[in-house]
Amino acid sequence: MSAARLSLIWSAAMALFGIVFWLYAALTLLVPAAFAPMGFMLAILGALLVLLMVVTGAMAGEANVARAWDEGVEHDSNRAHRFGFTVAWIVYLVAWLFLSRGWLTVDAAFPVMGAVTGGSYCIFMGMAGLRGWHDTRHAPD
Amino acid sequence: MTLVTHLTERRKAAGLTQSRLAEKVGVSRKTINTVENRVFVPSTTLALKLARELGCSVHDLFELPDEPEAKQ
Repeated sequence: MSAARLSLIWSAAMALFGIVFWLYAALTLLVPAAFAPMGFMLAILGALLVLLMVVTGAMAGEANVARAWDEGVEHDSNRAHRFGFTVAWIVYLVAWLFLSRGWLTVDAAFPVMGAVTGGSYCIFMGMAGLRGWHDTRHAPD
Repeated sequence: MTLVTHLTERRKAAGLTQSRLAEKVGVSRKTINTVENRVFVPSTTLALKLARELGCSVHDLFELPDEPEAKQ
């Protein structure tokens, strides 16, 4: 597997997992009784993402992994961390407001905060990777 | 922080594609593309590797925008 393909798989997986995390958060807000007890699913999903990255990385080889997660991706990762941190501050403040008003239970608030924060990092990384793939694909080599 | 870059000209003069140069210095083509388009400022290590592969100095590839000889 080439570095370009590995990078594409990782980016698509991150975007997909990020969307699933955000969907879970939205569903938990809408139907807390049904989805809040399923917070453990986030840990399983996160572990699946790591497993996918490890398995595909092992298939591609060390050199391709180094190229697929090079300093350009590290740069994107730093930006994704900043984005996730900013989103976390906003979500935590909103959750605190909702909790103080009794509009949200503690059992539902924690999975939502975790899912939105983790999902933000994944979505940013996925979008940055897919955009880079798209831009590079259409740029003259 | 942006840099004036002559990477594209130097790469083409060396007869290399973005993919080939990326392979030689151990990064993705996307990273070379973003350096050439001034989206991303490379590390000192990557700049040195690029200069070594293209047979020139780092200063031939990158310049600060306020330097008098900066042409871009």
